[in-house]
Parts: sequence; structure tokens; C-alpha cells
Amino acid sequence: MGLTLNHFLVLGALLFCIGLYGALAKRNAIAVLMGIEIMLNAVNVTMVGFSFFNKVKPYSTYLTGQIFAIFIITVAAAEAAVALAMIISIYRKRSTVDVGEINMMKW
Amino acid sequence: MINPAYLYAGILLAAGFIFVIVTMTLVSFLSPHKRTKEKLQTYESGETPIGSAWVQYPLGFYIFALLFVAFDVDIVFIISWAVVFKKLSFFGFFEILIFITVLALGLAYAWRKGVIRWI
Amino acid sequence: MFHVSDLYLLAPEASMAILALAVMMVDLFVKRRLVTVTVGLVGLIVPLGFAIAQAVTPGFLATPHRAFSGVLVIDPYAVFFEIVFILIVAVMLLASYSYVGKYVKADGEFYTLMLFSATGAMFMASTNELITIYISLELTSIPLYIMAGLLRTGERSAEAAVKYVLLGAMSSAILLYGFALLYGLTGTTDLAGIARSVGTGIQDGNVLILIADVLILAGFGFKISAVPFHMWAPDIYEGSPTPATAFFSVASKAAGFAALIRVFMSGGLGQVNLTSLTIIIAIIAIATMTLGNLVAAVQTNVKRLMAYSSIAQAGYILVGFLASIAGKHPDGNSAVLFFILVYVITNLGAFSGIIALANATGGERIEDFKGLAKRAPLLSAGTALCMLSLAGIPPMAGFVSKVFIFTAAWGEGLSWLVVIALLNTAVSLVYYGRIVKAMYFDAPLKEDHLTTPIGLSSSIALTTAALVVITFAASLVLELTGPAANLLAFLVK
Repeated sequence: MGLTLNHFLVLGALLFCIGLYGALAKRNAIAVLMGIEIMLNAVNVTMVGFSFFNKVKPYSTYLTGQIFAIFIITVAAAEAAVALAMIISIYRKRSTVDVGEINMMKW
Repeated sequence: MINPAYLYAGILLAAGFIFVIVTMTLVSFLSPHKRTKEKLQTYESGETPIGSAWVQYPLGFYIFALLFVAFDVDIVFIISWAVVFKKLSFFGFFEILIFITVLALGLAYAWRKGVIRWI
Repeated sequence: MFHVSDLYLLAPEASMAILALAVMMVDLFVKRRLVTVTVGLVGLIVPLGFAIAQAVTPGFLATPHRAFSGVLVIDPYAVFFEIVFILIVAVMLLASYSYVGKYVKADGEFYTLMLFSATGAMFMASTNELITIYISLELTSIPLYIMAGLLRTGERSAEAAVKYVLLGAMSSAILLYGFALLYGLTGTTDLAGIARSVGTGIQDGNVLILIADVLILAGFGFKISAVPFHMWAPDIYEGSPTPATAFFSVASKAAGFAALIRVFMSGGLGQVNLTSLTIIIAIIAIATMTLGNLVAAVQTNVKRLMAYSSIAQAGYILVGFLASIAGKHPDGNSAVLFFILVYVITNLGAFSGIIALANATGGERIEDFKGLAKRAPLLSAGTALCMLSLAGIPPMAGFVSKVFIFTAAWGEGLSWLVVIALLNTAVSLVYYGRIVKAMYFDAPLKEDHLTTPIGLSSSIALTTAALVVITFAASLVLELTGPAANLLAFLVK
């Protein structure tokens, strides 16, 4: 009984749901960002899993998933940096990072 | 029948938990409970700490962290390029050159904006 | 393998990226807004020249060119979007000049970010591979997040930026999960390979690929602001600097549609589960049109109104998109491309008017438009023309583009969808009409003459002229966008 593709997929799906829940339910903007990072890592787990177990399929270039994961990691870092800068700028103006209180504009 | 590897891992995990619980309980029974001023101090590797540990760090450090992240993450690409350096030959070399040039322009931007100056 | 001639295929995007870096350096060392913008405008000639050269060389676009292991694909569809994005940037550079000087914190950065974003958008249209689509999507989006927060006086602007970056990051995570499933199912990230694999290996009724479709739709739905992923649009449109809002409403949306259509058509995702897909997209399209139009009718802030209007327009585009998926039919696709072209031009014109007003008076409410026809006759004429075209009043280009989309959808047997879309068009007359009425039939707030800066007046003149030309030569433009769509349909087969 070793690791199979299902282990990766279930772990990925669970992590994705946890991250989505965190991103939607948390009130602290930093925590929302952490939720999003968990979602991205869930995608990485899924990608790497697929790439490792997909060797036998037609058209497979089995490293692609791992390369995709590397790109996701770097782009996520850039995105997190921008998001943190935005959160700092709103903290300076409003002295809060509670997404419930960031609500000047409503329909 | 479960895989013996799982059994060993389980035993190790249980042993770890038991060890921590037993030692923590023993310590709480055996140790004296006198609170002195020195004892309540923040641990600062033997130095006497200055001020509270809950101070805010200058926000300027954020930008250093940002620059660090930019260069740190890009190592991923440079290493994977270096691994297949011979195979890619000149094409790869010029690609990584473009990559590093763009990075360097970013650094030039940060430099010119006075981010790197010591606060 | 790499050939030096591949660089010619990459030239529009590459020169755009180099231009963005050059503008950044010029701003860094010269520090004069006029110089920065001039370098940007003059520099745009290079990518535009390459793109037009690719477009007009006889026979060049007859077959799609692939380069860099099939990652880059140059076909009429890609070149069409490249030219659209370059022109958007040119108009925006003109229109934003005076506003940026007055209200925006970092003027040089504003232009640099806009150019980077346009580079990403161009790549989104011309790439045929999931990894590159993701990276170019982020290259388009991340500069937009920063642009949203650049307003000098802005708590609202900072708020808009935080909302935009958090929701944008979440949407790209959702999109990526869809990509991961698609990769797992087909074993490749190349869209042509995906189309082959879906066609041969995946049965109709496969749930996993339906989930991947829905996740991809949701991810792109954020970028094109389709209901129920539209919540960000009004807040961000209202809070951002007005030129940035204009740029979001055209570039981000057009790029989102460019990539969405590419993934679904070249990736051949319409080959399986077509019935479920049709129902899902139809529901999204109906909700998007209806909610956008109904809520727009009660807005008082013009930027917010334009946000809901652009949501509604996304709904119409989705109708055309559905027609092209449902029938694998080139008509739907060329109608969509034509609609996007007209939408881009009219929205740029309308926003130029709004920028001009905000620039002169600082006002962004509909009341501020009262009697504008007396205070600035030419400005009002251009803005009103664009508004009427957005509403789809008969002789205008907006009407023609809607007719194309609706006939394509009707031809695919989606008549019920067309009826709902027509009802929506009627509702949309209310709010576009309100702005035109305020400009022409209400008493002016002040008896003065507003002066419009040269950049803004030229951008309004350009867009209005383009609008008039397209109105008269609608069939000609459809010829231009036709081959692009034909080609995509050919690729799916």
C-alpha cells in the first residue's frame, strides 16, 4: 500500500477547500491572503501529483506539471508581495486590516 | 494486514507524545515555582533586553523583505537553467541573460528610488 | 527547436515589453511626464508596426505560425487582439495625460504599469499553452492591482486596490485548479494536445472535465466580471483613478475574453458535455445581462454606472461566445470579436468624456453632467455618441455589433436567450439615456466654458471618428475579424 494518485488528489482537494473557506470566511486581510496561498499550494500538490503519475498517458510530457508548480510558486510570491503592500497602505490610512470594516463603497 | 512501516511510524509518534507528556508532568511536580524579576524577563540569549518585545518594526524593512523575495524566488529559474546549461547552450544563455537584465533593471529602479539606502 | 525567424513572430510582444522597460528607465532618470508619455507614444509605433506588418503581409496569416515549442501561436486572432491592445494603450496615454498629473501619486509608474499590463494582454491572445496563459494573465493583472491604488487622495483608492488584489488572487487560484484538472485529464498543457486528447480519450458525461470547465469559467469570470463573480467591479471602478478604470474596463475584459475563447475553442472543451456547458453559460449570461442592466439603472455615480454597464456588455459577449461554442460556428466568433472591438472603442470614448469632466470639475455623479452640452459642446457630442452606441441605438456601430451577435445566437437555436438579451437592451436605454438627457436637456450647473486638454480632446476625437467609420463600414470590419474566427474553428476540427 503505497502512495497513489488519489492520495495527492484528495489532499489537494481538501487543501483547496480549506483555503477557499479561509479566504471567504476570515475577516483579517492577512488571513485571507494566507487562505489564498493555501489554495495555490493545493493546486501545486495536484499538479505535481498528476505530473508524477501521468507518465503512461499519451501526449504526456510528464515534467510539465512540475514546471507549472515552479511558475505558480514564483508568481504567487509576486502576488503576495503586492497584496501585502496594499494591506500596509490601507493599514496606514484606516489603521485596520479587517475586511469587514473596509467598506466605504457599497451599492 | 497493515504495512509494518506504518506501525513503526505510529510507535515513534506515540513514543514522542508520551515522552513530552511525561517530562512536562514531571517538571511541573519537581520544579520550584518562585517567580523572580529576572525569570520573567524576555529571553534574549543572555543579554539584558531593552524595551518591550512588542515594538513595531520600521515599515521600511518591508521593502527590503520584498527585494529579498524577488531575488530569492528567481533562484528557482536560475538553478533549473544551470542544471541543463550544456544542453541549452547559447539559446539558454541568452534567455537567462534577458531574465537577469530585467531583474537588474528592477534593482536599478529600487536603487534610484532610494530603497537600498540605510535608514 | 529555436530559429532566429521565430523572433519575428514574437516581435510585437517583445518590443512592447522592451518599451515598458524603456519608459520605466526614462521616468527614473528624466522625471518629466511629457517626456515619458512622448517616449511611450512614439515607442508604440514599433510594436504596432510589427503587428500591422504581420497582418498585411499577403499570405502570412493564411496558416497559423507556431514558435517556441508551440507555446506562441500567431494567427489572425492573435494579431487582431495585439493591434487592439496597442491602440488601447495609445488612446489611454493621450486621455490620461492631464488627469494623471493632477490626481495620481506616481505618474511614471502609472504609464509603466499600463504598458506591462498591455504586454501581458497581448501574450494572452497569442499563446496556446496553459502555463503561459497563466503567467500572462498575472502579468496583465498584477499591474492593474497597483494602478487601482495610485490615487493621490485616496482612502477609497487604497480600499479598491486591496479588494482587487485579494479577489483577483483568489480567482486566479480557482482558475489554476481548473487548469490542474485539465492537465491531469489530458496529460498536457498544450491546447492543441488538449483538444486532441479531449476528442479521443474523454467520454461525454465525464464529470471531472465538467468541473474543470466550470472552474476555468469561474476564474475567467472574475476577469470579465460575469455574474456571480462581478462583486469587485463596481467598487474598484469607483475607487480607482478614472483612467485606470477606463483601462480595466477595456483591456482587462478584452484580455479575459481573448484567453477564455482561446482556451475553450483551441482546447476543444466544447467537444464533450455540450448540453451542460450550454446551460451553465446561458445561465451566467442571463444573470450577467439582467443584473448589470437593472442595477445600473439606479446608480448615481457615473463610474459605478459604467461598471454595471460593462458587466451587462460582458453578458452580451457571453451570448456570442455561447453561440460559437454551441455551433463550432465561425459566425459566433467573428461576431464576438467585432463586438469586443466596438465595445473597446465606445467605452474608451465614453470614459474619455468622464475623465475630461472629472479633470475639469472633479465631479463623477450624473448631476455633474447636467447641461454639459452648453459648457463643452464637442466633448458632450463625442460622449453622447459613444453612450448611444453602447445602448445600441439603430444606426450606431453598437447596434450593428449587437445584431451580429444576436443573429449568430439565433442561428444556433438559442432564440430564448436572444429574446432575453433584447429585453435587456431595452432596459439599458434607461440609464444611457439618463446621461445623454442630463447633458442635453437639463439646465447647466454653471455658465462657463470647460476647456478640454489637447490629449483628451484628441482621444475623444479619435474614438468618435473610429466609431463613425465602423458604423459606415461594419461589413468591412466583419471581413477583417472573420478569418480570425474561421481559423479558430478550423483548429478545433
